[in-house]
Amino acid sequence: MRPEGWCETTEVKGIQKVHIENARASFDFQLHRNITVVRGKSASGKTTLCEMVADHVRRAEQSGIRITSSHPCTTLFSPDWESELERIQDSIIFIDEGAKYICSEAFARALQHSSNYFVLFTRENLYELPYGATEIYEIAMVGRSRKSTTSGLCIPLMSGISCKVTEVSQVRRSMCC
Amino acid sequence: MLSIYYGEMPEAIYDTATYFRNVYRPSWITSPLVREMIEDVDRSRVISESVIDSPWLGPITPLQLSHGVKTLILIDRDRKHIFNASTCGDNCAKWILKMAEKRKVVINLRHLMDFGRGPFTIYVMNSGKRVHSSLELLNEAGRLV
Repeated sequence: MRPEGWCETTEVKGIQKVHIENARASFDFQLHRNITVVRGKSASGKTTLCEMVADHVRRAEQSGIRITSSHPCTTLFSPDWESELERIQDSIIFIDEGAKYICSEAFARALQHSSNYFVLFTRENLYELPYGATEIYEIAMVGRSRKSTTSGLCIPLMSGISCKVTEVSQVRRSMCC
Repeated sequence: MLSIYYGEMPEAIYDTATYFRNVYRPSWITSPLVREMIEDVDRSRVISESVIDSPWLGPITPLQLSHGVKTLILIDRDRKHIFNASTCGDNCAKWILKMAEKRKVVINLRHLMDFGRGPFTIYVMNSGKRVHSSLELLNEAGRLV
């Protein structure tokens, strides 16, 4: 059951382009709404993306991670996510698998008046959250593996959204439950 | 046989990556089944107990394996606990079924994992029913998650 007063669709806040990279991987994607759910096969790069964001939050430019985005990218570290979330505004918040609270009504309520974008990595159906079919993606690996290219670069890509990479034919749209 | 409890299960370990980080033993990584699972799911080759060669990330430690493989390893090696297998993608399903061919395996799922068309035997703990195909499983589990 959704919190009282919760709108039925996710909020369109303007498209946000994000580029995150280190020496071995880069992610290019656009966020169309304030809640984006990413699921898909194991080993597609979800945790790698979250860890890159977390490293950048801890060490900024000295992390070796380069982030290009109009909004700051961050993640929630503390078990006291509610207090942490209150302090974050106008940011893109990445939350990896294992954060059980994202299924809770309290989390849905906290999102209700949040100015942040949320990228949630989970396969669970989030009945409390009003995300639609168009906001569910999976990461597709495009480019070449380290072993078959001299560049040593792999390029994961969130599917269903435009990108600068030419090999978008490999992109898959995940099924919405 | 594979037994699945769908939905909230307080005794199941939910954050399998954290649990793995704190309990895994290096010797687990070089067991034949774990080597096969890492090669198939993560497309990576086990070099030694502490080094895995990833085609995407280069040399990595077991802590950098995917959540899915970590959960598969826990299911294989830690038989005292039940794990949240919704940290596994559909590419892990065949390995869960394989482990369940030889012994009783109990997992917790919070989404509809695709186990393929079957035939297989899965015991749905919530309802006490056995199912043998994806359609039967969908009919049984679809209303639970």
